[in-house]
Formats: sequence, C-alpha cells, structure tokens
Amino acid sequence: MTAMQALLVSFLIVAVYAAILGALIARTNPLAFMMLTLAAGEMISHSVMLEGLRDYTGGADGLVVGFKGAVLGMQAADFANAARFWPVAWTAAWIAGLIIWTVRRSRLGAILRAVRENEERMRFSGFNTYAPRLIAFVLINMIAAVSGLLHVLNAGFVSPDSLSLSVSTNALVAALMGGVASSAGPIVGGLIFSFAQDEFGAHDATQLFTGVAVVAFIILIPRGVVGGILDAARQSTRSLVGRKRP
Amino acid sequence: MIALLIANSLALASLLIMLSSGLALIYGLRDVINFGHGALYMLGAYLGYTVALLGGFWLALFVVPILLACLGVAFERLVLRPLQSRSHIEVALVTLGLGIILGQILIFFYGGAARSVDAPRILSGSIEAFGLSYPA
Repeated sequence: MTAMQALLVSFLIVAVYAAILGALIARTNPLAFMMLTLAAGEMISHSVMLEGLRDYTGGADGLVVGFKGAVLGMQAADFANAARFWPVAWTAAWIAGLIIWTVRRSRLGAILRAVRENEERMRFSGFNTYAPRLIAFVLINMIAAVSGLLHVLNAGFVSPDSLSLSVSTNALVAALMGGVASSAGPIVGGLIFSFAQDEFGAHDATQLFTGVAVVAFIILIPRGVVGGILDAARQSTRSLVGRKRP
Repeated sequence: MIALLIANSLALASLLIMLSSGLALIYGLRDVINFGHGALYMLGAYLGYTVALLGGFWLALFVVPILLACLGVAFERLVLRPLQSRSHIEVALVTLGLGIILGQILIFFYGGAARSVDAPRILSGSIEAFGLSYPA
C-alpha cells in the first residue's frame, strides 16, 4: 500500500468509527455524551496498550512511522522539516476553518444552533434533531482525523500519548480560551494556547496552567477572548447610541 | 487464594464506595458533577501523611476529616454558589480545573515519590480467620 492510500484508508476508518460511535451516542444528553466520549477515548487508548496487539501498535513504546515515495508531492523528510510542513498545516487549518464556517452559515448550522438552545422544542416543532447532530459529530471527527494524520506525518512517530485524555483537554482549553461562540474563537484560542504552553512548559508548569486556564476562563470570560471582545464592542456601541438619544 | 482476593477486593471496594457515594451525594443534592473528587481524595491522603508524622495516625484520622470539611464549606461558598446559574458542563469543567490545580500544588509540596504512613499497632500485623492469615 502506498503512503497516500494508507492515509486515505485510515481517514475512512476514522469516519466509519465516528459514524458508528455517533449513531450510538449522539442522542444522549450533554452529561452522558461527555461521559460516553470519555469512555470511548479511554477504550481506544487502553486497547493499543494490550499485550496481544503489541506487534501492531508497539504498546507503550509507540511506532516509528516512515514511508517511501511522496505524499502531496513531499517526501518523508520534508514533513519533518518545519519550513516545508508549515504551509501544509496552515492550508489544512484554513480549509477546515472554511468548512466549519460554511456549515455554520448553512441550514444545518441554523438547526444545530437551535438544537443547542432547546432540543426538545426543536423535536416538537417537527425537526429531526438526531441526524444533524450525527452529521456534525462525524464532520468534526473527520477534521480531527486530518489533524491526527498531519501530526503523524510531521512527527514520524505515534505513541499512546497521542491518544491520552490530555490531548482532548488541551483542545478543550484552547476552545474555551478563544470562545466557542464563533468560528474564529478556536483559532484565536489555539494560537494563545500554543504560545502559553511554550511559555509555561519552560517552567514545567503546563498542567498547572491548564487547570488555572479552565477555571479562570469559565468563571471570568465564559464566552472566551473572541466572544468577550464581541460582547464588549456591542455594549460600547449600545452605550454610544444610548447617549445620543437620551 | 480466592478468600484473599475477596478480602482484598472488599478492602479496596470500601474505599471506592466512600468515594462514589460522595460523587452521588453531590450530584443528587447540588446537581454538580465533581471531577475534582479524586483530587480531594489525594489531598486527604497527603494531609493524613503530614498529620500522622506530627501526631500519629489517630490524630490524623480525627483532624484531617475536619480540615477537609472546612475546605468543602469554602468550595461550596466560593465556587458552587456563585456558579449556580451556570450549565452543568461549565461547573463540571471548573471542578476538573480545580482538581488539576490541587493535584499540581500537592506535587509541588510533596514531590512525585510515594510516601507511607505506619499503621497503628492495633491495625498492623495480620489476623487469623477460618484457618487463613490476612493480610498474608
């Protein structure tokens, strides 16, 4: 199998897995959803450590991933080179952002927002609330798969650490920091988070930073940096308008 | 052999029962999913270690629950009440974050190495029952 075929096959496997998992859990309420996704993630990260699968997964040692030939016109060494890899990651991030932004503006996005506000009312109004949530779940998992595939190409190495809960909490903290109220939020959050992780990682305080960031953002700026700025802008224009017409 | 396994499981299970009944209690009474519960368990263990070094196991058994009860009051007043109007998920994430912070603070003070507390004389050693000695 060539490297490109391998990437496509793994992408499809993730999509199928996401569809099956989503079909089972997309119907549940937020708390149950949280616990079930947590359980599903732990299941995967522990099953790669199984002794019987050691020949395929490398157990706790992980696997060195190398390939011959070209992927997207680049050799294995090019992906390890930051200058060559950067445009690929940046393009992928932009495409993912555009896809999400398009979905957000579509009919599907409108239904998803309404379901978030009040699932029961949407169901009583005759909307199918299950299919949109399933589609959204599969879509975001496919985007996550792209990000994971790029990670493997870049690092040339994969280990159970890549499957650990901390990867999810890092993404969660990044999303909280930027704010989940707009498509730009996670992007801004991702930038702030990567920068902060570098800064705190130098003092071996990454975990502490994660904890403090979660608490501080939820309590003080629940809508994140982007949401907070939008709110502040709206408030100041309102007060300006109010002053003109007392 | 099986008797030993059962005795060990019962000992471990009683710890888990105390932990999980705490989770059930705070979910039932306060509608809070407490992801920081494990960190409080750990704090209890480390405070127990410190107090046991200073004044022995029985003093620790008396003092540490009181200390953690005070912490619980502070947690309720300072965190849970102000966040009462927030969604479940947000409160759960705050408890997760506080748990991480507490864990890191404990690692800062105690380091990553394991500590042990000597059991008092009445609880140490093994007992004979049904022709078996436990712990073996």
